[in-house]
Amino acid sequence: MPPAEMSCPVVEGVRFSTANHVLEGELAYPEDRTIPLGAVVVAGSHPLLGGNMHNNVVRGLGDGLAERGWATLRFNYRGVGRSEGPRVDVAHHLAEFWRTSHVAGEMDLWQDVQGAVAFMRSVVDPSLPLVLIGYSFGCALLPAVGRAASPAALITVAPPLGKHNYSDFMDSQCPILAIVSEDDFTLEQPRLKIWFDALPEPKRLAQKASDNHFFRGHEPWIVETASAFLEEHLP
Amino acid sequence: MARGILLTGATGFLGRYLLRDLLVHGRSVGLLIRGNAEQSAFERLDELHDFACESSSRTLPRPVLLEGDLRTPNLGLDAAERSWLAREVDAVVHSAAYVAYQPTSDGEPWETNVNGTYRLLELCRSLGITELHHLSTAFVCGDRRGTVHENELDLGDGTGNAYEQSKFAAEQLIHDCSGMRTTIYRPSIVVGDSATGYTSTYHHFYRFLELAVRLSGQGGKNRTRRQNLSIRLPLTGEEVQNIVPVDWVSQALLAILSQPRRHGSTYHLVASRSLRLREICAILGDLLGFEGVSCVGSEGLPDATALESLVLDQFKEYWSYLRANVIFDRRNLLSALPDLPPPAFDAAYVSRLLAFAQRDGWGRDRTRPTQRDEAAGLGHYLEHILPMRMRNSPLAEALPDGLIFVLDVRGPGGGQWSYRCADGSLRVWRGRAADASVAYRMEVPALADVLQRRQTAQQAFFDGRIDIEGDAEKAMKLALLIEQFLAQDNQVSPQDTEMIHAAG
Repeated sequence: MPPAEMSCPVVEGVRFSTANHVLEGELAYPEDRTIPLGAVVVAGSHPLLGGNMHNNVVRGLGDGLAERGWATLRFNYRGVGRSEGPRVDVAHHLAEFWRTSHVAGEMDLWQDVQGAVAFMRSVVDPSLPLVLIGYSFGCALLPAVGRAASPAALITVAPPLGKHNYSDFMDSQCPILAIVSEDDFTLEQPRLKIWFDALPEPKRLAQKASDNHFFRGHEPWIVETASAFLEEHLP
Repeated sequence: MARGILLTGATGFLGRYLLRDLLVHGRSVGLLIRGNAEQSAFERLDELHDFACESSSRTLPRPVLLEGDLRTPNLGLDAAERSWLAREVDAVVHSAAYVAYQPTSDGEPWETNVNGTYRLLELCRSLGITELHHLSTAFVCGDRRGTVHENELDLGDGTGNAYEQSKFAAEQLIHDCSGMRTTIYRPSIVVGDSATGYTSTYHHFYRFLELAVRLSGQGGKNRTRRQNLSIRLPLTGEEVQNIVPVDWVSQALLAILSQPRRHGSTYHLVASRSLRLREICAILGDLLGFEGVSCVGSEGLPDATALESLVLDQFKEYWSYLRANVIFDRRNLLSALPDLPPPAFDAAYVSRLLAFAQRDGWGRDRTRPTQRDEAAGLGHYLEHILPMRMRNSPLAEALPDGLIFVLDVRGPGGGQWSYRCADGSLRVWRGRAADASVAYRMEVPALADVLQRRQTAQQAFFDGRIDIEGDAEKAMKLALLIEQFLAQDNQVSPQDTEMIHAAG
């Protein structure tokens, strides 16, 4: 794959169907390329913790990788923004969420990512590489999607390893990049080391202090890191 | 020749109409006004004068500002101001009141309604002002049933709420006051302007109106389909409500005030005909396109559905009024004003009230800092309104007990506020708590945007407009709780804070 060139992306508002709902998203792709380098789906953070397609990390990756030649899709999970589906009854679940950081049914959101992948397969040549990116909670949804989607690469940004089961990443058949902020409140270095060491090759761990879990002002670094990883592993 | 009038409570709902009508009648007016956290007394006077001119379509003289407070000796007036009063004023229209129904820890409603009236009487006596027109309420009759006469002052067997008790006590004070000619006006339930629907407060009747709008789910806009609400009320439907427009109450008072031979009596400023609850439900049903609200008797509702429980909970504060069955005698009123009947409370009038309330967002945007005064009002909102609203919110239960957080707000009107979550409430103090788990740092506009729901707290954080110090996870969750609170606060009818602070 040739080195990505920077170009201004086109961003389109789209709606696509999943098994149960119609979700809204933003599809970004380079204006001056007939064929993108591949398709990227970005799964955002937890809907109760600012997880929507306008989040700085999600938007940064969507736009940034589109500038570098990829067709990207960021979207709102069911019940978020104008995506259809039941909204989480926050008032009802708040006490539990405060204690556990979980709400019932949250792992079902992998189906939303699966719907996003199917949409991208329908608008981008399916023979092109598919990259799945998760940010925070979104990382935990990737293995379930990856089993059927056969991604060319997985990228996890700030995976909260202590909050979900990340053992399924061990079965991955593709290169994995983990981008981590060293001052992340969810980060447990020993747990990260154990998890990362156990991942199959090829893999890469990129770390630096990046505004706790939130990467505000560090979005370009994430994009550069991801782009470089994809250039290296998806020639 | 008539000299000037001292008006108290001009910042209240009725008070602003009294001011307008006094000025229209050519009376020279002095206003007793206190500043508050949002506005100086001068700014409040400006606003009242604007209202008087705009609503009368006339250029009216500016009233004289007397910055003071009923809760302080001599009403906080200095010697020069008292001297001006003695020289220029010969009558007082006393409409200031603390109108929330429940007592507070700082002595309200007694402090304003009773002690404030006492201080006013003392001041009048010392200045030689002998004419007092006192705004009371028809509900000084407490829980009495049947006919209540204007010359009676009897709270009935029960105690009434704290507001009624305090207004009852104020009337007793006035009756016992020697050397003054006092006239008492007792309006029933006062609602918006009969011509424009204007109101500056949204309690009592408006709580029912808004609930009806919400339950019908149509905001009065789509009447093609009637929605069946299936709500039972533990009432007979024969209970009566006496409702009068604010502009008529003001006109009636002015008309009596201008007839000195009518002074010295008590007047029920009430509608000629009370409406049965059944009739009110029918009017609302027709306007909003709902049916299925039934009155099933006064024996209670032991098998209330969740929706019915919600409705009854919303009515809790007004239950005694809903169940009232009282007829207000109007002999004195008819004798003084045979040709000034109040406008009918009919569907067209309710429609005007509804249209204004919906345009005005049920007054809620005004109780949060507006763009115009958000810098000035922020402190008041953060210290008083937010904790009060949170205490009354169902989300109060989700407040993490013991958590301390700080709002560090930079810029004009900003400051540092610390909050401790305890027992389902927020305790607030100025300054930065050393043991806070979380601190949010931001500029005034960012906080104002969050409070006005122009942006969520989380999004403001992701956009770099809010910074977090301390436990980031708790900070994000707390931001979620606050967002939910603000969203919900926009849907329920809280006590109207403007009225609470309208003591003038």
